[in-house]
Amino acid sequence: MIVLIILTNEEFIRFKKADPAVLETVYQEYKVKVFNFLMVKTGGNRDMSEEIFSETFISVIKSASSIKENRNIQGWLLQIANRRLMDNLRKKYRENAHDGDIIEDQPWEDRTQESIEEKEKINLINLAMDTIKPVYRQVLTMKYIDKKSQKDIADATGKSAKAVESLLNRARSALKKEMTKQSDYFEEVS
Amino acid sequence: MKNWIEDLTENDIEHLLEKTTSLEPVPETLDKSVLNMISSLPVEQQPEKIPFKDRVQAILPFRTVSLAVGLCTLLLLLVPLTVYFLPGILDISNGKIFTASALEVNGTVRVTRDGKTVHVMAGDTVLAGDSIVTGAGSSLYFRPRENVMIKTIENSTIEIENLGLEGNNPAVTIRLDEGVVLASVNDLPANSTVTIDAGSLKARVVGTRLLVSKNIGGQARVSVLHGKVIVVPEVSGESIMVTGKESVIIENSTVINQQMTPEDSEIFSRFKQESELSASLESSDQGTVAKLPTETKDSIEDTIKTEPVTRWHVKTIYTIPGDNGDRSVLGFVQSSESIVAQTSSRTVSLDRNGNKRWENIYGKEKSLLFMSVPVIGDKTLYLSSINRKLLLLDPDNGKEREIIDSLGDVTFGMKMQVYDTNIYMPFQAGIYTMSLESKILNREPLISISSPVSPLIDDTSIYIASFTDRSLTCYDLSGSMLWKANVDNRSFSSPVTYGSSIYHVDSGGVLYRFSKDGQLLAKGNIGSPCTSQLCVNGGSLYQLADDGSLYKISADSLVVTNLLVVDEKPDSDSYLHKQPVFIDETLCIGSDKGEIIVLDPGSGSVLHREQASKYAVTSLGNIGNNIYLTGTANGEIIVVKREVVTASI
Repeated sequence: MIVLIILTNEEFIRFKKADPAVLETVYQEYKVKVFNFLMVKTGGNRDMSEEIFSETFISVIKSASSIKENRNIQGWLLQIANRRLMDNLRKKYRENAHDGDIIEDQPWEDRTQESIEEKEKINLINLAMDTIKPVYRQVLTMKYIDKKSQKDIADATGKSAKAVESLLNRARSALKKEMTKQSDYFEEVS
Repeated sequence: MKNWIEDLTENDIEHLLEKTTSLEPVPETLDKSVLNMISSLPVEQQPEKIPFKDRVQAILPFRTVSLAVGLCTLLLLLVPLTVYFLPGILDISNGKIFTASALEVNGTVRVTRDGKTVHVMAGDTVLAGDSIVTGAGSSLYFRPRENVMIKTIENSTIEIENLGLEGNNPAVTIRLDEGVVLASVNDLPANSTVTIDAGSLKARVVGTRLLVSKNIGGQARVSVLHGKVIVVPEVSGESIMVTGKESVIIENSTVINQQMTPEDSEIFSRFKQESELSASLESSDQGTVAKLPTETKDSIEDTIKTEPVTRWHVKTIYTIPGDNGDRSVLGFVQSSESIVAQTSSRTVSLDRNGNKRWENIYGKEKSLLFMSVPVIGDKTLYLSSINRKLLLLDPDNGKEREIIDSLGDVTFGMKMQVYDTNIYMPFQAGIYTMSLESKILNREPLISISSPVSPLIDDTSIYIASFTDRSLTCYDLSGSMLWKANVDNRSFSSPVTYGSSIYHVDSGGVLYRFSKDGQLLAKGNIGSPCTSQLCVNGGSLYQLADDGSLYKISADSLVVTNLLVVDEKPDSDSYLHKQPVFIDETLCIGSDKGEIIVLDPGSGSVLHREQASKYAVTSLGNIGNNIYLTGTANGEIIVVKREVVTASI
C-alpha cells in the first residue's frame, strides 16, 4: 500500500514522545477523516461521535509511543477510533441492559439507510484517495473533481491521451483496491 | 474485494469523489477542546527544538567567576577503554536546555540525535544526549561552556552526557566510548565540574592541568602537567591523586605510578597551542561560521605546523512556499546578477545573497505549469509551460514581455538550448527554433522528430535522440539530416561530444561511441537503466544510473567502473533533473537523501559528503568563489560554500 507520509523521521520520533506541535500536525491532517469515520460508524449520532472523537485523541496522546511505523498513521488513528467506539458501545450496552440499537439515539437529521451507505462510501473513497499513488490521485482529481477533459489532463501532464486513459483505468482500479482495504475498518465494529 | 466496491462504475466513482468535498467539519467547540488538550501537554526537553542548521548560540547560564582557578587541560587518549573520571550525572532538571557550540570541524564528523544522523558543521549546536563520531583524519572542537574546550580527534566516539547541572552546580560530562578526547578548561568556576567518563575508570578535573591517555591494548594512562587530578580506577574504587609531571598507568587491573612520558609531554604541548588558538576562535553567530582571526593566524604560522583545512558551510537561502508537490525545484538558470529557480508552478529570482528579487506564481489557477528549466538568452528569460505557452520574461523584474502560443512544450527533464542567435526547443513534434533577436517562433519545426530530447549542438551539427524513437540522428544547422543510427532503447538524455566522437547512453543503459559521420566505433553497457544526463571530463564519461550508482566510463574503450553508490534506493524521476557536474576539478553529485557529494574524478574517492538537506537535491551549480548551488524536492534553495583555510594542528 502506498501511503501518505506526513511526518519526517525526526517528527515521527517527536510524535512518539507526544510532542504537542507534531500531535497538532497529525490532528489537523486527520481530524476531518476521523470525525466523519465516526459519524458513519455511529449512524450519524453526533453526540456519540463527538464523545468518541475526544476519547480517540486522548488515547492517541497516551499511546503515541506505541505506534510502530510512520507509514500508516491514518490507519492507526482509525483503529484507535474503532476501539474507542467498541468500548463505548459495550459500556452503553451494559448500562442500558438491553439489546437495542444504541447508535440510533440521535440519528442524522436526514438519516435513511441510503444516506448512511452513501456517507460510508464517501468516507471510504476519501480515505482510499489518501493512500493511492500520488499520480493516481492527481489524475482522478483532475478528471472527476476538477472535471478536466482527457485532453486537458494530457496537456497538463505531458502525456498522450491514450496514456491518460490507461492511467485513469489503473487509478480507478487502485482506488477500488484501497477502498476494500479501508472498508475493513468499517466492518470491525459491525 | 467487496462486491459493491467491485461493482462501482466510473459514474459511481465520479459521484462519490464529487461528494468528498462535502465531508463534515469537526464542530468548532470540539476542535478547540482537542487542540487545547494537545497544546496543554508539557513540552519535552527535546533537542530538536534547536535545529542543527539554525546555528543558535544559546547563552549559557554558566557562572563566570573572575577568580581563575588555573588553566586546566585534560587530554584523554583512550581507545577501548577503562579510564573513568568521576561521573557527571545527567541532570537537566531545571528545565533548561544546555548547549555547546561546535567551533571547528575538520573532515567528517557526524552527530546522532534522536536516531537521526547528520554532519556537524562549525557553528552547529551540540546538545546533551548527542552521540558524536569523528571519521578518519577528522576532528571536532566544541565549547560546552565559555571556558571549556573539548576536542575529539579522528576515529572517536563520544556521547555528551551532561551540559547542565549536577545538583545545583554547573557540570560537563562527556562519555568517551572510543578514541581520543582532549579537554581544556580555563578559569573553572568553583563547584563546577568537568568530567570525562570513559567506562571503567573515572577522573575529574579539579583545577589543574593534566593529560590522560589510553592505548589500544587496554592500558589507561593519566599524565598530569600541573596541579592535581583525582583518578578512580573502577577495579579498586579508591581515589588516586596524580600531580605535576606524573602519570598513572592502569593495565590489567594493576595501577602503576611513574614519571610522565616524553610522548605525553609532546601531546600536551601540541594541545596547549591548539587549545589556546581555539580559544581565540570567534564563536559563530547565527548563520555564520567560526573564522580564524587573521592576526592570530599570522602570529602562529611561523611557529607551528600548518596545513590547509577545508570547511563546508551550508545555508538555505530561500524556501519556496507552497505545497510539497508544487515546490520541488526542477533546476536553475543563472545570469551575472541573479539565480532563477523553477518549480512546476513558480519562478523565483534571487540575488546572489539569497534575497528574493521577484517571484511569479503560476500553477493551475493560471493554467501554467512547468516541467523544464528556463533559459536566458539576450536578456530575456524563456519558460516553456506544459500548457503550450512560451513565456518571455524580463529577468530583472519577472514581468511578462510576451506570451506565445507554442506548438508544443518542453517536457519533463528536457531543456531548451541557446546556441548562437537561436533558441532550440525540443517540443513533441520536433526541434523548433526562435530567433533571440526577433523573438519570432518559427511555426515549422527545424527538425521533425517525435519527442526529441535536448539537442546537442556544435559548430556544424545537431545531434538528437528521442524518447519514442530508438535512434540517434545528426542534422546540419539548416535541419537537413546527415545520418541516422539505431540504438537499442529509447533515450531520456542527450548525447555528448568529446574529441572526435559522439557518446550516448540510452534508457536501457547501453553505451555508444559514434564518429561524427555516424560510424559506430564502440558499444558497451552500464548494466542499469539510465535517465540522467551523461557527463564528460578529461577522457572519462560519468553516468548516474537508475540503480543509484555513479559510473565512470573510459572514453576510449567504454569500460565501465562503478565509482560510488550515491543512493541505495534511488528515485529515477529525480535523476531526470540530476547529473554529475564538474566544479573546480572535482566531480559533484547530489543524492536523493539530500547529500552533496564531492569526489576525486580519478580515483572516485569521496572528498566530502555534506548533508545539505533531508530532501533530494538537484544537480549542483557553481556560482563562483567555491560556492555551490542546489535545490531540493522541498523547495529549498541551498548554497554550500567550500572554504579552505590554514589552521593550526
